[in-house]
Amino acid sequence: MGAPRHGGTRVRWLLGAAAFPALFLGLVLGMAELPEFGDPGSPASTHVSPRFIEDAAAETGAANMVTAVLADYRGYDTLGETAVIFAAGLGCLVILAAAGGRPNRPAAGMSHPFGSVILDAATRILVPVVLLFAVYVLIHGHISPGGGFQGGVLFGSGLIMMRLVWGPAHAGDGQQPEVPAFGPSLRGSLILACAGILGYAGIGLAAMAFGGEFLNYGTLPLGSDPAHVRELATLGIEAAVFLTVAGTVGVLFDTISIGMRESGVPLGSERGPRE
Amino acid sequence: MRELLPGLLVALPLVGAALVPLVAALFRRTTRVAALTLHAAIFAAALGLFWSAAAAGPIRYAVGGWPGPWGIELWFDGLSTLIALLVAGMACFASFAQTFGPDRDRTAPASTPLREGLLRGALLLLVGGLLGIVATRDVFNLFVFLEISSLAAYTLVASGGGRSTVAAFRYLLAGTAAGSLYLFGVGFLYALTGTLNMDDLAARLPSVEADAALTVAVVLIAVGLSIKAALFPLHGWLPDTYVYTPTPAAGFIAAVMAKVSAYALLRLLGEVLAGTTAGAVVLEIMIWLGVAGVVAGGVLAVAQRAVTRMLAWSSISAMGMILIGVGMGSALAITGALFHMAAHALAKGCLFFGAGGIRALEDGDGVDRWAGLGSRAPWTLAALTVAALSMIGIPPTAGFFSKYYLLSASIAAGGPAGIAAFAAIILSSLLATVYFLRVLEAAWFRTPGDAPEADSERRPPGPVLPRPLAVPVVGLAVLVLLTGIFARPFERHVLPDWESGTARISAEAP
Amino acid sequence: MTTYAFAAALFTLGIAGMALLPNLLRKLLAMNVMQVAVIVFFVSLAFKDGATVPILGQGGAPQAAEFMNPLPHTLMLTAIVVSVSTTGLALGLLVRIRSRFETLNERRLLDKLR
Repeated sequence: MGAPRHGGTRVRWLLGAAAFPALFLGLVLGMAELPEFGDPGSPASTHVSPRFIEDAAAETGAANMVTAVLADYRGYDTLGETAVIFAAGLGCLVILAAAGGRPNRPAAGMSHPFGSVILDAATRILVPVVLLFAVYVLIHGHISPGGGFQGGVLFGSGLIMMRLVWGPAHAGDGQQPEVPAFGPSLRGSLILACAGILGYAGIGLAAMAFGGEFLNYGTLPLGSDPAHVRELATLGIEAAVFLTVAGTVGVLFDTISIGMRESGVPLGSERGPRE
Repeated sequence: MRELLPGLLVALPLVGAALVPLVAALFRRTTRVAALTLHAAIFAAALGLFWSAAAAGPIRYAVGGWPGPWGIELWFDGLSTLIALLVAGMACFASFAQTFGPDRDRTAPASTPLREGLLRGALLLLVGGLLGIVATRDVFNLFVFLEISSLAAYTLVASGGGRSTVAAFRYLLAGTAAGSLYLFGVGFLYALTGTLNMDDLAARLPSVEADAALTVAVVLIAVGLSIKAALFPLHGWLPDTYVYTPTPAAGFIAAVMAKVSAYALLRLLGEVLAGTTAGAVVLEIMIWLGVAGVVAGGVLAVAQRAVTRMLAWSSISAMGMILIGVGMGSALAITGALFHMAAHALAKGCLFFGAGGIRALEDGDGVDRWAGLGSRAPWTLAALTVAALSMIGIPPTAGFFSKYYLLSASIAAGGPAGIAAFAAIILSSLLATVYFLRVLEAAWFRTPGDAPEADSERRPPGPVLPRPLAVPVVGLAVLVLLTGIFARPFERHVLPDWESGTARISAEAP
Repeated sequence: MTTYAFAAALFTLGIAGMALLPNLLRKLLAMNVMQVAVIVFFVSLAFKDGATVPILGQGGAPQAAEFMNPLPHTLMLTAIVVSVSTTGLALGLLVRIRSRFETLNERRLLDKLR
């Protein structure tokens, strides 16, 4: 029930031929009434956003207005966004978990690292630079394009580069990997991702403990100038986001690459009581 | 305490979602107690807010200390606290049921403490997403939490392995399309008004003169959320998702997931966009689609042989009924819709825990697998019977009152839509009688040997639900009865609040 | 307007691809096109003639007309992350589906499921 039947393919194409042009026309008709592209007098440019441009530096201490809105005015959105990426990591771990006791399937891609002298030497030079640059992007997010997400992704991609060349990480289940891996194990990546979320929410809850609203960094006892306090707290939450993103990127890469090679990602030893 | 509760309600599930997998990864122990404690704390926060909003009026909470429209505001009135209470309460039962690990459900991969922790984390994340949708007063923030709940739900659906991964992928495609449609609509609203705050939107929309653009915005938002709410022609993702989800998650997802989207529809179309011409037309169309959904869901439920699939189609019928109430928009209809959300969530959760457990134990989903349940586990079956009676609409269960309110609202609304809604709701009760009596008859009066194709040697004489599932089943059935018996106070609590909320919006509008 | 129409075209293409393409991986790619369309739309709302990127330079008090609207940029940063996360999860699902059913073709998959 509910599944399209074989004979339905042609019907689907016919319906599509009618429906999709209608969707496009409808969208364009609506768009014709929107304010002109680039109009400085449009509601979007005049109603809420001026405060973000004119007062952000004084109120939050961030010269990068996107960072000010992201981490402070709409910090709750960003907590949600961090939770979304964490959810993806969690999801891949659950979905690609070992099916238990089944023999491993033959490899489907990426069964061996691409070891070669040139790649090896190149990554030895490149990866440290990438990782350092990731931290720079994180810290510099206040005054230039960047921040926790961008830095975290860069850091994660540096780790992925190592994984691609040197082989994948071990799963952290206590067994020795065939190839010595660089960077955190799968379990380590998961712990990093969890720690990031806890750090972010923890800063928000700390603000509540000092009498403010959730995520109201201004109440934290870090100094007398509220803008400076907010700036420090923003750096803190950017670092937390960095951890979650870097950890989740690692989790996603490891689970998907291990999942493609084997029947599932081994999820730890069976030490606890089985339910 | 009133100042702390809103922050705790939205923060606790996210903290828990990270804490539980962390504990599982570090210590490799079962996280059952930790997760249950967290769910209980979230429920306590929701209960506190419910009382607080009832006693001292709605609560506006500016997250980060930035008031709207610059910051993100949360809004707790009778409506949102009620749904929050429902979500948090169902989550407690689901967390309890999660002890019925996937390793007993034969379709799922084996369980380790880490995997258990991950699944419990996913449930907490789902709860956090749903509570975020319920609480927020910001249309973009709603999108973010919609996606949190969606990703967590895909995870829980796919945790069954095998077929459930295919169901989860199709759900993911439908859900992402829904989210993108919604976000596109929000983009139109933002371009027209420059704001994302719901109160600010409601105040600024009447002065917007771009009718076509506003229509596109309303339609995009309505279609997007209707996909998530499984409104009739957009329900394609629902049956497979509900059927292939492992039992503990299915009880929760079937109970509250679509209803929270229906709540978002109610908030946006019934409150924020209610003043627009397009909004009124869309609500009218929604009544008719709801009628179609009620009938189609009921008819297809009768046609099913597998019990869980029958329950899934019956959910489409119920969502149609809720959206009829949302579409009518009168105070009586909204009360009916809300009451039906609560009544259906409790009853459907109960039935899914029961039916899923029996499916896992008996290795089959046919009606005949229920044979013998009455003699082996009369209390469990009595509880399931109460839930089924509520689905049919027999007094004094909760389902009777929700249908009563919706029927009264249909009569009050009048016109062809009112008559069609009235007829559809009556018909759905008749159809529900047909499909539920079939199951109940097998469970109470037949033994496994009676079934024509049964080989009684292979099977023990009827299933008995294990405690992690039996407790939620019985508990929810008791709640179904209590909700029915205390229907009047419920009505008095929610109704004035909703009316004052609408009045507040129109008073602020220039 | 051209930018808006471009977003509408991308969105339509993406939805059409999701509905009509037979391979689940292609459906996923089409889904990404659809999400990018929304991002293009929002970012184009942020544009102001004669304005620069929303990062404060040296100098006096900033005026709203001098900088692009930072709000849509922020929102789309979130939307991009959502899109990436959904894609990651979907890829995980596809790996699992591929190893279990040995096909990603929707029709063959439905045949195997029957």
